[in-house]
Amino acid sequence: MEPEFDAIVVGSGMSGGWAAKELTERGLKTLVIERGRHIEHGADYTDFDAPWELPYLNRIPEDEQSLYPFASQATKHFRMKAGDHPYSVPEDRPFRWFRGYHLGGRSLMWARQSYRMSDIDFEANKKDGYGVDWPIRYQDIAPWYDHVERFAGISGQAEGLEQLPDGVFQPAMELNCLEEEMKKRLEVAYPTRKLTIGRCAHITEATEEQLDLGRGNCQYRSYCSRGCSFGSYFSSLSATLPAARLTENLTIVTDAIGHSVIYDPETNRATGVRIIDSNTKEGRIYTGRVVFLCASAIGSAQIMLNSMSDAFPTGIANSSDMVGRNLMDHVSGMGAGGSFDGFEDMYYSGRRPNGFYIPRYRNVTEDAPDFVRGYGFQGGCQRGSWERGRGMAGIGADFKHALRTPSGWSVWLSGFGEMLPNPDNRVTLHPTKTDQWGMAQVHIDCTLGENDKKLARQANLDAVAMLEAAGFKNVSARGEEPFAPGSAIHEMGTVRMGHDPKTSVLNKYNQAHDVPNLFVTDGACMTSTACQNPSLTYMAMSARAAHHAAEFLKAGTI
Amino acid sequence: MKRAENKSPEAPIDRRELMRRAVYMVGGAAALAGLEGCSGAEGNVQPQTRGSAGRYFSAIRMDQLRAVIDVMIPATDTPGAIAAGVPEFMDDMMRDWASAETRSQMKAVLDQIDERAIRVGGRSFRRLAPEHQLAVLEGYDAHSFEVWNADYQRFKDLVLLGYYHSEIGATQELRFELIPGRWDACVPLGDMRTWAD
Repeated sequence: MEPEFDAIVVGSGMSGGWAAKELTERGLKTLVIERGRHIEHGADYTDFDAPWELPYLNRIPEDEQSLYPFASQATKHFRMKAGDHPYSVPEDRPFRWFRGYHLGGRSLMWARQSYRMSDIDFEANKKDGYGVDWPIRYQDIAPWYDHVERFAGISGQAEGLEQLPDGVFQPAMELNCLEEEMKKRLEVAYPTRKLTIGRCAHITEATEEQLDLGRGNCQYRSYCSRGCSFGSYFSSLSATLPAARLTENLTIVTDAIGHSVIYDPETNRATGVRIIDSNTKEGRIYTGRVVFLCASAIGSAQIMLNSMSDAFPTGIANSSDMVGRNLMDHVSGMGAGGSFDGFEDMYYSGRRPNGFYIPRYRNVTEDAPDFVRGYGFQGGCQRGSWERGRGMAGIGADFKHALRTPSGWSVWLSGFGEMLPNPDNRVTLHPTKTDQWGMAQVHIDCTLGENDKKLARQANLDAVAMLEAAGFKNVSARGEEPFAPGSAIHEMGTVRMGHDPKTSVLNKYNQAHDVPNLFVTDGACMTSTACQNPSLTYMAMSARAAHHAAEFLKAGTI
Repeated sequence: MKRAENKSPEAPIDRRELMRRAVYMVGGAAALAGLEGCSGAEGNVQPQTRGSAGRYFSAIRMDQLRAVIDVMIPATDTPGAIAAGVPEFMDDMMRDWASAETRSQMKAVLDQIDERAIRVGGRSFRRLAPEHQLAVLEGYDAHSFEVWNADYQRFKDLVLLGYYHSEIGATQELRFELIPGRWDACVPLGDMRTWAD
């Protein structure tokens, strides 16, 4: 029987949107499966609501707050309710798993920071021996970075750094006066460190292609987390899915939970995907010639582990026993803050949805005392608003008058560090617990290693030292201990790429070693984490894999 | 801010639709120049008069709440918290939004203020002369920061939110632009006011 689709893509977020765009543009009839509900670009956003128009002035009713961590009234509709989608962890090893179960996935929730990885990152595993070697190098992915940056729209400043390659940039957003001053002082105090404006997926000079998709320049509202009706920041809903739709090769099915990949031992091919309708709880099968898993690192691993057959008793394409292993996140929770005396007569206008970035220098331009790899810092400088009044004594006309003027400047620095791969950090299917659809829950057992902790300690020391050297006062580190893994919302590594089918799941085309028409292009494929925000790499990897999959289909090799 | 019973359902939707249409028709955000004045006059409640009960608080409590809030953020050269509807906001929040714990914290604050008023001025807060109300509340506020009174921190937090994110607080007392349209990284402060959001 002929398959219904040329390609099936599981997941509609950062990676799935790109896979869909590239596959459909190559003439392949493509089905995108999304477990969450449909969201309509624009109509389902809350980005035109003034503060006073939001229910409860944007605060979630108190008794519901624990169900929607880190959300506001304006972003609650992009959060799944805690408890609806359970997972388990060992009691003493917390893992925080933030998800976006709706069309567009976490491309509607991300912080939009977009950085390339470099050969320092692609060569790291081979050089220091942690994990397996990446089967690709920078030159393999560089043209795909170009490709996705041109389409997505990345604003940023070229710096010529070896550890953070420049890209196809739209005009950079500007640093404010204190950030400029901090940059000067920091680069004098530490000649091998650099402060640059964040590279972010916001359009600052729309191209024809972007305008044609109904996207326009950033309006400096910083209401990005509510969705952007201007399509100014990159999301599946603003960019990749509309482009895929234009080809007339795209079908989207929402409310369809990826259950498993169907495998035919005769042909050694994936033949389709079994889903569960999230509303009716009924099962359904879609057939296709090639399957892309883009369901997020943990989600894609879960589907693979759940795809058991005689040929693959522990899950499809899992002859290496590496599916679910090597779960990583970025080490986070490090950083520092401080205040600054000066520039009292300067302010800013508009809400820049971006901060600055201090690229990695440890084990690049400077040695590290006792660890491998490194970290970068995001940060920003701003003046205090009326909100400081909450912690200030005073009432009446004088108090009101005082809050009319912004208070002094402050700075924050937030470190993101590379976490090493460790096969014991692992996602498995829970032997007994199931969710409301009868699917085995995932059990996540993941903890930071010694290197990860040492790196976090040094990041705190560095953050404090840099702020003090730049003249900030009242400098203090953010916390003694890094956050629990998962907190950076950069899960990776569970279906890693590698040369050797015995120690890795995917080859250099994101193609399963064991099952040649199965591709995984989300964070699961990452062989190491680097310290850069990873979404841009998922985009490039997805576009590249889709290109190769289409070539293989055409050649009849898969 | 809107109260459940007197919000106008049409106005905000029309405005949003207008903005959205402008974006789509012209295919880009440049279309929005000129729509800045559209941030909307709808939404503000008319402050209610003395002696009327709220949706959550009794008439007596509402009178006390109005008196307290009026002293905290008075009308000066700009309207104060009464004109911005903050007592009604607090009343709505206690009815529809607050947890049982927060409700009891708010009650505790109003009780503490009345106790202080009676101790210092011999009568409940709402019956004190305005200058005595100011003195009582200044003393209570200062003391609450000395001993870190968590109940009052919570109360003050909500009153400030209610005022500075009301349309009056955000646009008349402070500054707010729904769609700034541009980022000016360094501008002289001059007599610019704090951004409300």
